[in-house]
Amino acid sequence: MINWRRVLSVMRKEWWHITRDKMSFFLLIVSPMLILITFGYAFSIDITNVGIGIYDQDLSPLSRRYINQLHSTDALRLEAFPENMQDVDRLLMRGDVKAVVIIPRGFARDLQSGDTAAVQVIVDGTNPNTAGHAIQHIGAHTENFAAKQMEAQLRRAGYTASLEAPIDLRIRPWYNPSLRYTVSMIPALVGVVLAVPAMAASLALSREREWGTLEGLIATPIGRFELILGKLIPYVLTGMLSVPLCVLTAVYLYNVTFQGSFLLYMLLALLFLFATMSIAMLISVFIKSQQAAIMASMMIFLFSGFFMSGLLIPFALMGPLLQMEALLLPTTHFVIISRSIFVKGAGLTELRGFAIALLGIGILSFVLTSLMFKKKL
Amino acid sequence: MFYRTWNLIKKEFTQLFRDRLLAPLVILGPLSELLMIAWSSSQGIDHLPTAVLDLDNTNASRGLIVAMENTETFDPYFVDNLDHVTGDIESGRALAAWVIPRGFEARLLAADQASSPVQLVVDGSDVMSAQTAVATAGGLVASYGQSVAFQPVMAGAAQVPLDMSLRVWFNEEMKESNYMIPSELGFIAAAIVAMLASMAIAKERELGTLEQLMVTPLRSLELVIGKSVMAVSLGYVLYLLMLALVVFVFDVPMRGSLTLLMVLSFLYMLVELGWGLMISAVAKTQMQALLITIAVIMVTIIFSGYAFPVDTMPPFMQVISNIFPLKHWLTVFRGILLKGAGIQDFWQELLAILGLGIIIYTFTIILLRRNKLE
Repeated sequence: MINWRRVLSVMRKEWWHITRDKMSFFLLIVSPMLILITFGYAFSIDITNVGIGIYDQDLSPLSRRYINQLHSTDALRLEAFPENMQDVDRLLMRGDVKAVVIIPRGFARDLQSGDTAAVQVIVDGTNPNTAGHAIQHIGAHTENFAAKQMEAQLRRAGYTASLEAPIDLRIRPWYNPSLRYTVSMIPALVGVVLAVPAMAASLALSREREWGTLEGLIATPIGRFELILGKLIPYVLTGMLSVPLCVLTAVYLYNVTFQGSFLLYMLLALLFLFATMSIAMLISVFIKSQQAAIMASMMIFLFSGFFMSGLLIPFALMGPLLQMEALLLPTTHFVIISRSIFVKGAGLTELRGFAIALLGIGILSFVLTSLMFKKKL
Repeated sequence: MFYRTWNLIKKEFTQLFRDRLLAPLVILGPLSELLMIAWSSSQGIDHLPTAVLDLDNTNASRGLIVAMENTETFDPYFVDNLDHVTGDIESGRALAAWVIPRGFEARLLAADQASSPVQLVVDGSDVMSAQTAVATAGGLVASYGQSVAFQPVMAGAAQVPLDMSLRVWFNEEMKESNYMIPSELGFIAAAIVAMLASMAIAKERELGTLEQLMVTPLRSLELVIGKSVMAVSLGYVLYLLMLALVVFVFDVPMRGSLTLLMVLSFLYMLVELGWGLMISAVAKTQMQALLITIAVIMVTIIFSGYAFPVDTMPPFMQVISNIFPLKHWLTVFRGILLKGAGIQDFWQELLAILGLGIIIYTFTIILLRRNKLE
């Protein structure tokens, strides 16, 4: 049976250990927030103002009108006007512009005579996001310009009916009316970064072993369940301090509205931290040195958290094997919980399944840890 | 001096290999991240489970559904009432839903040319899928509508007035992985070197063995060099391993000179090592070293253009970004790999890295002097 007095003394010792080093304690609590700010910033940045070059061989009033159309919005910025192909080459190689539009000689003549005029666009594909943005906007402006020319042609041909789009697509984005990236990504990210304190917890047993103080603990009458529990609880509590910080960052820095119940959020975060910290303890039992423990927990919490948890690739689109693997990660469940409470305002009834999964993962790893931990050196 | 340093290096490696898990984990960790990045950046957002409520059930509406299926963005399945649509979106079973109202075809073909409405519902809580759905749907609906409604009128009346021919250079298929994988490779080896170096000295300090080292004739410079050799050689081996993987397995093009890349990346790694040493001068325990390194890495990621391009940042951040060696290095690295660039294309970046290296090492030496090593 668990003797709570013994658990309490291990807890006190571990708590003292965490808080004694003020700098580590501080960094431990703010590190999730720091990562949230970093990656939140990456998700909230809009690509605008992509620099492009224009090589106008035609130099006609019509080509000038086309160029004006290209920079009529702030999506594209006219950065350079190369005058020969060597310049075009150099600009793209250096990365000074992301795309070059080449307007060939005869552009105006072809347009006016009703032939198809051609413009050439060369895009630097190195960064597909910027390249995609450039292509999309150059394409839209070109289409726009073409539509005006087309209309003129149709009118000249005597066509009088309306030229409105034949199908009117009405888009209804639920939960996130203007489809802002931050509204969906930041809550998911909160779920990922809250796993970071577990990296520090994975040092708990390895440290005692490296320092040789484990010997002292083994000599005491404390049971292994009591020891692990006493080590676990202070880290879970420290992690709980980060939760409101992250939620506040999401709400005030990134303007994400918190739709659900904060109390429920804290409760489920507690389950999540219990699950991650238990896994951290499991790592700590297997791995003897702190450096190795860090590497292992980085793989599990940081890397897998980012890539396998449904943050970047929706869970529904993963293959069955990856889905199974993802379900073993507590982060996968908490990303869904965090998104649902934040964005959809979901309650416990909708999230029951995920809560049970977290509890299950936590208890399983806790029991495994306690069984694997031999009171031997 | 060399003899003493050599002995320390031998001790470091003995220690490294005695910990049977450390070396494999140091190599496995970054490799696994690289694999995950490769997987997630090659994984397109497509085949979204899509509920379709077709209230019209005519040739035109079925044509639209076929056109939708052909984009491969949507994986349509049919439902028969609106509640079903609502329920599926709420529970997350469907990430998008189309509702085609009764009279769709009639209005589309009617002579008065009033627009025929179609509804697309997307789950905004998963914005990646939602954005893809919206972007694809716009083009799909416009071209389908035109082909059905305008074709008869337009036949022969006019041709496309302006044709845009598109050529993509350097990353012809615009593969996300060709951008993300080199970034990752350029970044992670350096991060590992900094982390190993910062924890190595902190470990001696934490365990009290630094004291023992201090009473030997070993001087602190020799100690730092000995520790660094371990971190850099482990990091460099790891780097070459990942480079081979990236070029041969992930098919990222290698267009520039391999020798140039190998030499420059070694120099760059030495600059980043400076960060690790600077941290080791202040950190008292391994946990501190770890947490400070994470903080430094996070700030570097913001500014370096690792995940998102520098030229789209606000101007003042673009100025600050210049003090991070990684920013310049990524330009060089992507240039060599994807563009086949040579020194004449990026000598400015190299000078910047060199200058920053000198500054970082100056600070490191000052800090090491002031904090001593005890």
